[in-house]
Amino acid sequence: MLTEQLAESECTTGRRSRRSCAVAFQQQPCVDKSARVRTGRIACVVLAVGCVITVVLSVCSGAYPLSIRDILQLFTPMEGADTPVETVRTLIVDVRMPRIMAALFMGAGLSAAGASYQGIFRNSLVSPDILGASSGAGFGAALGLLIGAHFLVIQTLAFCFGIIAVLLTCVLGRAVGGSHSSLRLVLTGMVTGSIFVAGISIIKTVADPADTLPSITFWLMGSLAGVKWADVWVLLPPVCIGGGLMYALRWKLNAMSLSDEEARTMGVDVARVRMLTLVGATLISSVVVAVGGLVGWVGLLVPHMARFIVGPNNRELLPVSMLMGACYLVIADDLARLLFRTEFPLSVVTCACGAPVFLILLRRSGRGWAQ
Amino acid sequence: MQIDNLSCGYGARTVIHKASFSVALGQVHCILGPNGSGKTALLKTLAGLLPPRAGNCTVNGRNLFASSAREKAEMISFVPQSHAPVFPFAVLDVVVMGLVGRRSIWSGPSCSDWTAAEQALDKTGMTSFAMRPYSGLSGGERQMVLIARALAQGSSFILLDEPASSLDFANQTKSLRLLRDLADAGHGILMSSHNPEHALRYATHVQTVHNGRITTVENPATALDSEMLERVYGLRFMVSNVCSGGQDYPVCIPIG
Repeated sequence: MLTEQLAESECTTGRRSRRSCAVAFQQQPCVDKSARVRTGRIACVVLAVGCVITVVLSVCSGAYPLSIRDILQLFTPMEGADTPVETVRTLIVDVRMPRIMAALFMGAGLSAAGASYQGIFRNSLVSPDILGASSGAGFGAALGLLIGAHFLVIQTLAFCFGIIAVLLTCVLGRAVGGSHSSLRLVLTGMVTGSIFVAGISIIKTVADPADTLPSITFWLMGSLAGVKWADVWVLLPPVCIGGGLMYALRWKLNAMSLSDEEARTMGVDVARVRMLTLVGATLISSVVVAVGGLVGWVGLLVPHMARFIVGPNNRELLPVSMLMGACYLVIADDLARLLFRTEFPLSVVTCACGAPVFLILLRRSGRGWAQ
Repeated sequence: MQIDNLSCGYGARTVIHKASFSVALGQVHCILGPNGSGKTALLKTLAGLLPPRAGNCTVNGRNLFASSAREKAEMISFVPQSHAPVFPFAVLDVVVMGLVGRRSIWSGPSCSDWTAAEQALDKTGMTSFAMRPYSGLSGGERQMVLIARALAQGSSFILLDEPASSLDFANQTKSLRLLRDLADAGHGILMSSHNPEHALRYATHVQTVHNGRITTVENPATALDSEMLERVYGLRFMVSNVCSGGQDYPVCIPIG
C-alpha cells in the first residue's frame, strides 16, 4: 500500500515517467497515448516549423527584397551576396525583425486569450476584448495622442485604460448582481465597451483634424509600421505571463467550459480560475493595443481554426492556438506591408481575411450559432 | 451523511424548512415531490451550489458547509440534469474532469486519475465511448457518462437530480439499476424523482416533499400507498402489483 502511495505521489509530481507509472500500477499505460494527443503534437511541430519558415520568408521579403544568401552573410562570410552586409544588418535587425517578433507575440497572446475566454464564457464567438479591454486601451491611446504625449506615455495610457475598463466591467457586474456571473460579465462588458467608444468619439471630435485626428484614426486601425525592439520587450512579459497562466489552468478551464456549476461541484475554485484568466487576457489585450493598435478577429478566429484541428481540450488547444495565431499575424502583417505600394492598416487585413475564413469554418463545423 | 434542520432556498425565498434525515452507505434514497417543491434546491444546497439558509450537514463526521469546494468534492459528487455542452469534449476527458478539481489549481490529472476515469467508464459500461465526443451522445448515454464522472470523483455519496427524467424506458431502467448496484457496492445515493414507481422499484428509502416540509424516511414498499401519493400530488392514485414470470412489479397509476 505504502509503495503504491509513493508511486502515485511520484506520478503526480511528474518525477516518474509515464511508463514507470503504468508499471507501478500494473495497468495499461496512461491514456495520453491516444490518437488526439499525437495529432496535437504533430500539429505543434508542423506549426512551429511553419512559424520559422514564415519568419524567414518575412525577413526576406519587403520593399527591398533580400535573398537567403544575403541573410546568411550576417552569420558567416558569403560569396556572391548582392547586398552589402551593413545594409542587411540595418534592414533586418532594426526594421524587419522587431516588427515580425511583435506580430508573433501579439498573435500568440491574442489567440491564447481568445481560446481561454471562449472556454470560460462557453461561447465560441467570444473574443478577448469582450470585457472592454480593447476599447479602454484604444481610449487611452487616443487620449495620449490628443495631448501630444511622448510615445511611451501613450503606450502606458493605453495599457492602463485597458485594465481600468475591465476593472470597471467587473465592478459594474458585481453591482448589478444576480446569478449567471459569466453572462453578466459579458453584458456589462458591452456597456463598458460602448462607454469608451463614446469617449474615443469625443476625443476625435475635439482633435485637430489636420494633425491629431489622422494619427488617432490610424492608431485605432492597427499597424506595426513603427515597431521597435523596445515595443517587443514591452509585449513579451504580459504575453508570457498571460499565456503561461492560461496554460497552467488548462484543466480547470476544461472543467469550466462544461458548466460553472458542475466545475464547482467537482471542487474547482471557479471564481479564482475566472479571475486569473481575466487578468491574463486583460494584460494581453491591453498591451497589444498599446503596441499595435486595434487588431480585430485574431482572438476570435484562430482558436476556432485550432479547435477544428485538435478539438476543444485546452491541453492541445492552447499551444496550437498560440502557434497558429503567431503564424497568422506575421502573415497578415506581411500582406499589410507587401500587398500594395503603400502600407495597409493591419486590422483591414485581419478582418478581410478573418471574415470569410470564419464563414467557411462555421459551415464546415455545421454547428452555426447554436450554443 | 447526517442532515440536521437544514433549510434551503433561492435568494430570499425558503423552499425547504428544517429537513432532518440521514443517508447511509449502501442506501438509495429517493425524494419524491411535485414540481417546484424544492427537491432540486435541497440537492443543490448539499452539492454546495446554493448557500444553506440554516442547519447543518455532516459527512463522515466532517462538517460539509464549513469545507472548501475541494473537500466537498471529496465527500459528495453531484450528477446534474444532463444538458448539451458547447464544446465537443471526448467522453474520457469529461470523466477525468471529475478528478481535476481535486488537484491543485495549477495541475492536471495524474496517471492514476486517468486510470480511475477508465475504471469508472468500465463500471458504467461506457468504455467503448471513451474517445467519442460527449456532445454527440444521446441523453441516456450522457447520463451514464455523468454518473461515471461522479464515480471517478471517488466520493462516497452521490447526489442525482432527477436522473431518470427525459430518458426513455430502457435508459431509465438501465441508469436506475446502475444506481442500485452502486449502492450495493458501498455508495450512498440520494436522488430526486418524479415517478413513484422509481422509488418503489429501486430505492431502499423514500421521502416526500410537500409544502416545504420533508417527511421522515420510510420504506417505499410500505409507505407509498395511494393516500400518501394523493397527499403529495393532490391526485388520486392506484398502487398495485403486476405479476410477471413469478415476480411482482409495483405500479402506480394516477386516476383522474
